Amino acid sequence: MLLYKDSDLIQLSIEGDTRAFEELVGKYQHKVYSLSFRYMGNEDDANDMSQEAMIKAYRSLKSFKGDSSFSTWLYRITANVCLDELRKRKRTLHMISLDEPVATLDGDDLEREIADSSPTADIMYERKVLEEQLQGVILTLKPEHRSVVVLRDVMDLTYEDMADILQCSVGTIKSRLSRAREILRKKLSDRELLP
Amino acid sequence: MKCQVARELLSPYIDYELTENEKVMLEEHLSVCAHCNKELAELRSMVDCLHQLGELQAPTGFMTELHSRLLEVKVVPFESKKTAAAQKPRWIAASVAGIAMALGVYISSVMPITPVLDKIAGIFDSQPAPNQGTSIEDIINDIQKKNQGNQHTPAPKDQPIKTADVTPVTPQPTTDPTPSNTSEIHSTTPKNNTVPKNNTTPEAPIVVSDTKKIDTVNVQMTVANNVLAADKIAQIAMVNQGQTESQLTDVMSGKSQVVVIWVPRDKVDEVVAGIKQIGTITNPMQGKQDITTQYNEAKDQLQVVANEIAKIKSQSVISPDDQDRLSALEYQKSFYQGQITELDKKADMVEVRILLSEEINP
Repeated sequence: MLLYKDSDLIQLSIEGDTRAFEELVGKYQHKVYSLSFRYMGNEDDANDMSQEAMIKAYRSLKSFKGDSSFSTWLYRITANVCLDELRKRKRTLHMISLDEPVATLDGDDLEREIADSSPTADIMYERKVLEEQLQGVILTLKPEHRSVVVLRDVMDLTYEDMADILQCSVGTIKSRLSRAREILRKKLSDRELLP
Repeated sequence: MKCQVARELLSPYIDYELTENEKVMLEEHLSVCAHCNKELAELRSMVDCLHQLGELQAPTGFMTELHSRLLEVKVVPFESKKTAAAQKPRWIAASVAGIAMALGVYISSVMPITPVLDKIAGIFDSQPAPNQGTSIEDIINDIQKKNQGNQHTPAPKDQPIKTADVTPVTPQPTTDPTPSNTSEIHSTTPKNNTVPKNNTTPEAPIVVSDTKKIDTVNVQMTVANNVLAADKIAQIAMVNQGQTESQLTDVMSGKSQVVVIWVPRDKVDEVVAGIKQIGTITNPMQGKQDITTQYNEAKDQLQVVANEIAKIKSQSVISPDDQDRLSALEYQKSFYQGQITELDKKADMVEVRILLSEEINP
């Protein structure tokens, strides 16, 4: 099965072979999960959104025309699932403002004073703190800004792929990314998180 | 060029997405504007940081969960006559599997809990291979007979498994009545690893038993297809409140060779009965994995961290630096508590390790 190309696996999936579909999406499970995590900010939601995206992909595989790569198509579904969920939460839960910093960001330089405990826990703590701080600031961005930053700067996708995923022009991607990076840079700079 | 215009071009500039004209104009501006240069440096630095976030790993069992969800939704996305015909046997197989699972759940709900490995020994020993016509009902009947033959008093939850370290499974009942120390840890260790609030408040000491072991069952299985077998084993584990710990794949063939699952003690019989449906089981072995050192080290570290937290909290004034250190210590405390919880959880379950090999067709 490992030797099959995406196009072969897609064809087999369309013929009803769920193993082929699992093989197909299995190749992208980590990227889909990463993308979901960057949108949602926690493991449980990331898992739920990734599963939901893959089920949606399975249901709508027939509509995949091959105009873009399968991975791009799958990321588009994932991004839409996450954005839908974020919109839903914004409508129903008025208590959370996406433009407010998350609570974990309040304590700066937490890693400064770590000492004399086991190295494993120390290293994990430092890494966790840094990642949490960055991830925390990403989560303060509006969803449309979060999308472009995550797709470009975390997942390293091209402007064309991003335009395909977010269903807009490359020009829009360019200006939106510029704006999003500017906002993010200021937030990181304010928190002294930039070297 | 004005700074405002230049700033809008910095982002596409670092991505090499500017036209030649835009690039020349921006670089001219940058050669004379220290402020925009500083912003460019910060932007590059930020993008480098974001790149370092990297790719996360989907959780273990992600694909197994997806597989189950795909079966649950019973989606037939493409309804051509050809595929509809091809799906029919799968649907029947899924229904049979569903009925079998439901029966398994029902039987488990009415059966008394008996020492687990006695049952396993009986199942392995008395059941013919599935290829010889064993039905699910036969296996369930056999388990029921075994239960009737065994003592009717339900075993306590933490009933130790009475075996020597790694011995071949035999049909004789075990004779060693001595409980292992596995149960001690549950009865003596507080569930919540409470941290002393201050040095003056005496807390119950964390009692660590001499040994802590995980019960294991190792089997070899001959199956028609390793990949399909591994998949079915994962499903069986899941419907029995277990989980797939790992699935080792042979690089050359791309096929699963060893599947390790964790299942609750009282579900081992159902799991084994289910696994027997997939292929022929040989060389069943039972044993114990010693995790005492790992467990004790986590307990010791937790105690050290808890003492440190208590020491800081007992101070009349807590400085900002102390507050930072408390945050770090609290993280470490939850880290070690997590480790201990995980090991406790594992000690309540049985590890079943299945070595798969495919039938050789002449």
